Amino acid sequence: MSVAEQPPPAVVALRGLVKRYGAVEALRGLDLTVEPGRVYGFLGRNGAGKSTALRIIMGITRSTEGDVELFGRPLRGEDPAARRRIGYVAQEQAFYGWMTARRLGEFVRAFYPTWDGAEFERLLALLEVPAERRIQTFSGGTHAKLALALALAHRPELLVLDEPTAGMDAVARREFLELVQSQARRSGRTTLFSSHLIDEVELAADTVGIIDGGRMLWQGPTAALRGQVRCLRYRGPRELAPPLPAILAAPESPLRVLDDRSDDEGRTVFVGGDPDALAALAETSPGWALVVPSLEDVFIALVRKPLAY
Amino acid sequence: MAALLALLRKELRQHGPALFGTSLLLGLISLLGWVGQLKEARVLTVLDIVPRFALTALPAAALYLGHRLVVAEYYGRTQRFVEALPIRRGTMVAAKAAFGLAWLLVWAAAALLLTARAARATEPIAPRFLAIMSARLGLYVFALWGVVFLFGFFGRLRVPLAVAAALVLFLLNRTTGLHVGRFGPLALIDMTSFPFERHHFPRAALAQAAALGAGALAVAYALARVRDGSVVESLARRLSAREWSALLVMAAGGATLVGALSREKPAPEYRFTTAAVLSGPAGAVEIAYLEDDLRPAAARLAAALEAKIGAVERILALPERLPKVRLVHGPEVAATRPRFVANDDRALVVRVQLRDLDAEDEVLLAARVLHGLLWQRSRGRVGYEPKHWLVDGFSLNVARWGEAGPALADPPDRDMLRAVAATRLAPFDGQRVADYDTTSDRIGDDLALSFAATGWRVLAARVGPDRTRALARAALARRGTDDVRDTLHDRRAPMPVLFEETTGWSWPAFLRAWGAALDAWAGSPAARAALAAWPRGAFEARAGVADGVGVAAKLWAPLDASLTCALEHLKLPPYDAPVDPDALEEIGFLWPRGATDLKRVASNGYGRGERAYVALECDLPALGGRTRLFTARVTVR
Repeated sequence: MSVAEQPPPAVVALRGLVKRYGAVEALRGLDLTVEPGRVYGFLGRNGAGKSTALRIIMGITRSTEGDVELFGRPLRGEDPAARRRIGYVAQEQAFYGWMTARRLGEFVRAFYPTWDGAEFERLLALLEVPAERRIQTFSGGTHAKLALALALAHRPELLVLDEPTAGMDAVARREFLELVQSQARRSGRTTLFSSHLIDEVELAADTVGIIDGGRMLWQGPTAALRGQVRCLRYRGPRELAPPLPAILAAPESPLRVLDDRSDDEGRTVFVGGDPDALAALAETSPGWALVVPSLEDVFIALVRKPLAY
Repeated sequence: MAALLALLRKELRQHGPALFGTSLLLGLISLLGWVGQLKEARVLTVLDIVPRFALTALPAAALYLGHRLVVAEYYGRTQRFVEALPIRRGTMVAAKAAFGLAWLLVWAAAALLLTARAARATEPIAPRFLAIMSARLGLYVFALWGVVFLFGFFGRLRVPLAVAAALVLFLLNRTTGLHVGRFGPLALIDMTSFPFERHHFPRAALAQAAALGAGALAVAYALARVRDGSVVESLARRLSAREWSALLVMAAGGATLVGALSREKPAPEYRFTTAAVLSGPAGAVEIAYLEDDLRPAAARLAAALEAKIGAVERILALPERLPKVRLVHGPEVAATRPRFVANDDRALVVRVQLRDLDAEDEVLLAARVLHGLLWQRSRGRVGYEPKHWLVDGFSLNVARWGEAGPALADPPDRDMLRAVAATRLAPFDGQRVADYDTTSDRIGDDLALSFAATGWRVLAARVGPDRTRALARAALARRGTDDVRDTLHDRRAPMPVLFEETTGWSWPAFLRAWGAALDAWAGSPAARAALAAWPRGAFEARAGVADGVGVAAKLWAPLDASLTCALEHLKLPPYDAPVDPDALEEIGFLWPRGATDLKRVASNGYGRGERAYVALECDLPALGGRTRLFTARVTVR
């Protein structure tokens, strides 16, 4: 492959990222890659380490170990130049309540040479954010919309959103995500957004990363994730359940059991691995129904911990 | 730079109205201070407004600024928004530090320049002098702001930490050789040097203040970056119930520590620097007589004093010797007004007039020395009002009569006559004894000694020497501890209880007997003859800004003989407190024979609204010496 044909570098690349707060390990060797032009849904339970990872990408927090690359360059400590290329919407908005949205825009524009005042005004109008009202009177949803307008007005190459829809009602959430999706499609802007809500990721992301306990469990195209997990379901008395296919217990198996649950109605086993081997399970699993699971089922299968009663 | 300017513009927009209001308030405070000083007639220079302003208004303004700029930002979590902008974390800290410092400097500069402009009317303000004051004030502000700014980053712990730091400084100042007031920023705004040092830059203090300010700002900068700012953010929360409890426990511990350690550091022991010193036979008294012709008088006085000190030690059955007494000849000191220089467990040092001391002067001097020794031994507890008369009277009686103690005399002797004279100014009743400090204020220190001495004599005549000594031991022998044990001891034995337990005589009965004795002596021919010399007439206090503070009198009859008198006066604080006789200022004069009118004022610059204590005392030979004729507390109009 010639130099000219080399793929562009990843916009974000985290390798072996570790972050410790005293004895608490928030990230335990996280690997994450966001390719240019992608809308990356960063999925994880509360406390999985999503916000910590995003704050490290922003340079607000430093990692304890591991490498961070932004736009193909290693990030070392605070890097205002790199940060100017990013639009960031934090999980909690901490704006100056005494300012109006317009005045806040005037304040923020001094930090971004690429600031587009007309675009900011357009976004405010589009998102129905009152330009001349004090921010302290805004609802949580309007705060988030203002944050999005601020994040987009300097036309960043990368948009980072940390659970931006928290606290929004269903309609506002849908509108917000559609806007994120449409601006990403229109401008080809790389977008990395975290969420613990699967439907958000399903709706907006073309790539998904699932984090749990500070580690990346799975990342790749959203469609591929669905194709790599199947559900074997048995309905009937537990003691009469047929045995699982032998391939799942084989040492060199291309498949592995992600989750195995029994209840009064029967038994459900989530299996992940090679799509062809998964498809073959239909013939090798008499008595079991092979089901294509929802993304939510996949996510739960990956991150669920057995409950101890 | 654009980012820094944007942050500064933001701070100005955010805090501008509040800072404008603060500026007006500071201006008003300065104006009031200035007006107050114009009323103060003893002002040497108006420039001393500046250090006053720097010590009071500027710290308050700095605290307000620190709260708005640092504390409110972190408590509101708005620093998170700024941290996400493309700037380094330190940029925000630097902007806040610069903004606060600039405002404080503006306020300080305004105060200095306006005051200097006003001062130009009365004193030269050379450029160098202005530069010195500017440097002093500027670096003081830098250090002040650095410390306040740093404390702001400690969030909920800032107030406890500031209090702890102040306590540590207080303890260091009080218990060690470190004088905080002479260090860096405080030395720069020292009121005794700031308005007067015109030629020399206080380089050491300037360097210390600069180092303190820079150090504090550097620590604040570092603190804001520690663990990506999470430490400061975690401190910016309200105190939890557990933290409150812990702080209260620590505060109680701190208060105990302060109580335990806050004894004043002892001054270096007083030592004579002359070879013209002699000791009494027992070595308990040393006298620096300074002039060779005073040596015989000094030797006699030392021996006499040692005898009386020994008498006190035996009467009170003290387990250890009283501290050494060191007298030094003071040519400027009046014979009847020795000046206490130092008084601690090592020695009592007194400046006295050794030349031409007569026998009565020696007695009064001895009484004051014994009084001082007992006062120090008890850590001042013998001077508490209900028992104060005991130490006064005991000291004079031992000074005059020695260990044997006095008997009542017939006809009344000097002290008895003077006690009667005292009742002319303050008619006797039980309350006069209970409010002894007020009584002493009114009748004067000299008459008070005689008055109190007669109480002991009435007691001794009734209950005998053993019970009298028992009271003296119970009231005067105890060594004070200078802590709560003294208070508990005094509460266990209030005056009437102490008196009745030791003498077996009822306290009210004693007071009646004392009053009756004074009445009886007043009716004696000797007393009537002595009191006939008392100038009778209308006395009144003068207290005006124009006229001065003093006394006017119109006598009913012309004076038979000239009188040597003294006008005593003292500026009083705004509250009532006993007057320290040693602090009185005195103007001596002769009241000529045949005069009926008197007007004598002190022109020592009392300002309108100030309070003053004035007294008139004259030597009345028939009453055995200097006698208070009039006293008043006045407000200058």
